[in-house]
Amino acid sequence: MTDTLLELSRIRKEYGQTVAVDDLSITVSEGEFLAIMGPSGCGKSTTLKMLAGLEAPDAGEVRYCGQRVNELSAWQREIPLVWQNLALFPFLSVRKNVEFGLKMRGVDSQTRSEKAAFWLRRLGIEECAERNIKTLSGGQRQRVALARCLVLNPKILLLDEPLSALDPKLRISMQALLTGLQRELGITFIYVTHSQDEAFAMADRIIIMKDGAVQQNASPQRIFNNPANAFVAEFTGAFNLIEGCIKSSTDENVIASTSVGDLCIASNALDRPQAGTQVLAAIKVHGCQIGTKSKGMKENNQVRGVIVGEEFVGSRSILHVSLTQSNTFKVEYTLGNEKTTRVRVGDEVDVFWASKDAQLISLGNEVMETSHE
Amino acid sequence: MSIISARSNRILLLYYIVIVFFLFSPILMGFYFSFGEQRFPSFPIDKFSLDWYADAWADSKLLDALQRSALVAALVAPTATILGGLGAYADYRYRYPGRRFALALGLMPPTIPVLILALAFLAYLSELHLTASLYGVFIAHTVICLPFAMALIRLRLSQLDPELESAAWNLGAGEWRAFLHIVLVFCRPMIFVSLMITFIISFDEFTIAWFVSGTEQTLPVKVLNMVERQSSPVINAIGSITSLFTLAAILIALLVIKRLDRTKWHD
Amino acid sequence: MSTKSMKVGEKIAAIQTAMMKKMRRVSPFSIAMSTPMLGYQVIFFLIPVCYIFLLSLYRVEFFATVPAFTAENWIHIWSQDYFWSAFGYSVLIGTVTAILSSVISLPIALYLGLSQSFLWRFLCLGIVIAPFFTNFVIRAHTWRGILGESGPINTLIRYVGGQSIQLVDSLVGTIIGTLSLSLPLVLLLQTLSISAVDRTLISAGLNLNARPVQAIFHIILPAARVGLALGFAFSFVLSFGDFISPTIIGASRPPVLSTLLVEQIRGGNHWPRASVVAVSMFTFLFTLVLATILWAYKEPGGEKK
Repeated sequence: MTDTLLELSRIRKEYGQTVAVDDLSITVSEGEFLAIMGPSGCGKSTTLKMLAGLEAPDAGEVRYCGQRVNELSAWQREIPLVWQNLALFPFLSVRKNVEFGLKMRGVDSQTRSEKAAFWLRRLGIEECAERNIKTLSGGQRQRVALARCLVLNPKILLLDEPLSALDPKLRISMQALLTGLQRELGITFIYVTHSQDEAFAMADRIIIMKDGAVQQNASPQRIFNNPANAFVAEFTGAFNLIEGCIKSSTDENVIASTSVGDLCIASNALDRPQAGTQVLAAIKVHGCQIGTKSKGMKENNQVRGVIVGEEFVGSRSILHVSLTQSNTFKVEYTLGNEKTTRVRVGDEVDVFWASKDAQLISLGNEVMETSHE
Repeated sequence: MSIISARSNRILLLYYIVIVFFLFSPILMGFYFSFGEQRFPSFPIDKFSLDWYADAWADSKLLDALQRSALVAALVAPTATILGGLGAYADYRYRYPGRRFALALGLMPPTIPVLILALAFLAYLSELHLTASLYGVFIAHTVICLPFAMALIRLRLSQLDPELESAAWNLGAGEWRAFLHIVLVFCRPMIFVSLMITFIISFDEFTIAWFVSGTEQTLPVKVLNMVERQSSPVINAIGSITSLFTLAAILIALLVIKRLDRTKWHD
Repeated sequence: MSTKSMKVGEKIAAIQTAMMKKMRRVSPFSIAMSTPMLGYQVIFFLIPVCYIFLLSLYRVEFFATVPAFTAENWIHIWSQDYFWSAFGYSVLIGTVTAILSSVISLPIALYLGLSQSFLWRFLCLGIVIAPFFTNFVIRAHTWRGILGESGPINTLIRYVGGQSIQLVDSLVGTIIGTLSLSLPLVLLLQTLSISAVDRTLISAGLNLNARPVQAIFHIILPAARVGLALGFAFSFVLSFGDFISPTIIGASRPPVLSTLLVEQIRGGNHWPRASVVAVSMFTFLFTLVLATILWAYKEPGGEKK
């Protein structure tokens, strides 16, 4: 098991009346790629700033290799940050930008020059060395910001939504660059983002935050398969949620009565819930299909609804099917070829899914499982 | 987190107060001296008296000069404000060739040493036979006060969303009416500030008035004559009064400008 | 398209044309807005300033200025030692004042510029600017009283047993005067430019192990370079061209260019020669300010893609 490198213990941060972060505890291990994710205002950037020493927590401890570092000022820590707006110094050339941290640490001119040259080459921007940063493209500037941090040989690198300003294609290639670097150098990356795609694509472990508290702390797979609460389930966008009341339960399944009828849901690690308990059923969007009974659907859940919207992602679309006034399910749908008849907005369809693709989440935002694999 | 520690902050605040004291010392001291009975300012004052204020009030030539300064300033203020305001609006609204040139011309006077301007005005206005009169002073002062009016009103206009004028046009208001009902109304507080500031600048302006006014002396010019004749305490009396008015006007101007921030019509 | 929609289309086009007409660049409105200021400044500012260039080439015959094209005024003035010594003193006063005001203002500019509260900055700057608007002649005169033999400073010095120092009628007195003139302006320019520095740049610097002092010298000052340079330049211009401080506080000891200019007018009414002094001053200052601005806006690297 790798060592714990960085630890936040019961951190609290307030800004006036607003509580940005409350009773937050996170451990970060050596060599892992950790993503911190959540909606705007959830406290993720604040957490990052506290790690870097740019904000001081009102309560709690920040520990580095077991030592308390709350009192260590920002410039005494060695946890460089790649900023959202990159924060490249416009009055310095690319090379001088990259050398900056080394200069502040008192490294001599010759060594600085060599190290900077190495990293500029490594990231493919050595011909930009003497240029002004305003003349660079978005992708090139990103690499300068990266080089500026990596040249310091850090154990931990913080990244605050660094790719948010890039166009989609560039973003993908930068993601590949980042994951490649992380694996090769073995640096711990702590990556803050509000983009679910980025987090799930790059991270070994994801911490989802809301209103300053951790909702779930697990690997991407686990979050997808076992969302800890309603918020996480909704946040991933991969689940259809519906409220219900437990009717009965067996070892394999649980029956819950909902506004669209009785649903059959696979039992998960919970103790068998009592009849009458209010729960939330989370059904994987991926497991839902539309069709007709005559096609021989063997799934044990079926509801009827009307298509009210359609989203396109390439050749696939996601249909929004309205089941009742307040429940709309998302269903994946492949367009197929011109011969098959397309469903359209306004059509009535049946939605099917298997009980194994559904699970129970307790109502409310209590986190049900916080262990990570 | 500020990079200046709390202790450094306190020291810097103290340092700031020292500098403010330095800058205000002639005003404060002038005030103090004006109450001294002796002819030459000495420290500390033995006897206090209001004689000098009485003398100032009694000096008819002084009052004439005061009147002339006030008259010129009262004419310069609206003229400079109108010209500067129009220039500001033109810069805000239009992109025309020569816009930069107009802007430069409008804002340049304060960057040229006042003495050089004074000579330029003297030579030029005498060709137009406008020297040794208040008309000349009026014209010259307008030139140097205009930039301030323009800068202030341009600042205020930058807080006005250009689409608001377009919306007015769209609803049937012609350019003139939109200008009147939207732009002017929005700029009103700053127009007021501009009138005050241009008034003060003209009233207190010395060098140009000295060159151009000849025998029609404005107050600052008269003061210089008195300085040269060493009649100091009356000067302190006058200085105290005019400084008080100037500072009061600046205070009002600052309050108005500060409140403007809350009345932005933009975003 | 149906007839009805055609009519609507035409109507829309008509309204658009009408609006375009209203907003046409050259309309009575636009002319009324853009010409007054420009016209006024050209007639009463640009031309007079250009005129003194011309005036320096005129001749004086029998106490009257006569249009001419002669270099005699230039030769006369530029060949005098007193011109160049006055020039030297003006440069000295300008430089010393500019350096002093920049250095004195900087700590305050940092304090105010980095402060979080816009209100506090506004208040503090407002207080500093206020004296600028009062009559400078009276202020200079009072400085004489303060710095003089029987003024508070020397009285205090004698009280603690020292010898009174000569502050008035000297260079020191003049510089104190020019300092009180340019400090507010320099402080304003410096504070504005420091407050405009992107705060994340400072945080980034701290994150890269720059200690606060290093952050000031390696990040804030370079980033605020334009404002700092302009402050220096304008302080120089103000002090170089100031007439009141050297005359009233310094009693024209030493004589500077502004003293010289006034002398040419007062003592002999020789306008062309006065113009020579004025044009010399103007050209010198213009070149200096231009050079400062070019230096301030210079970017590192800067190869275009």
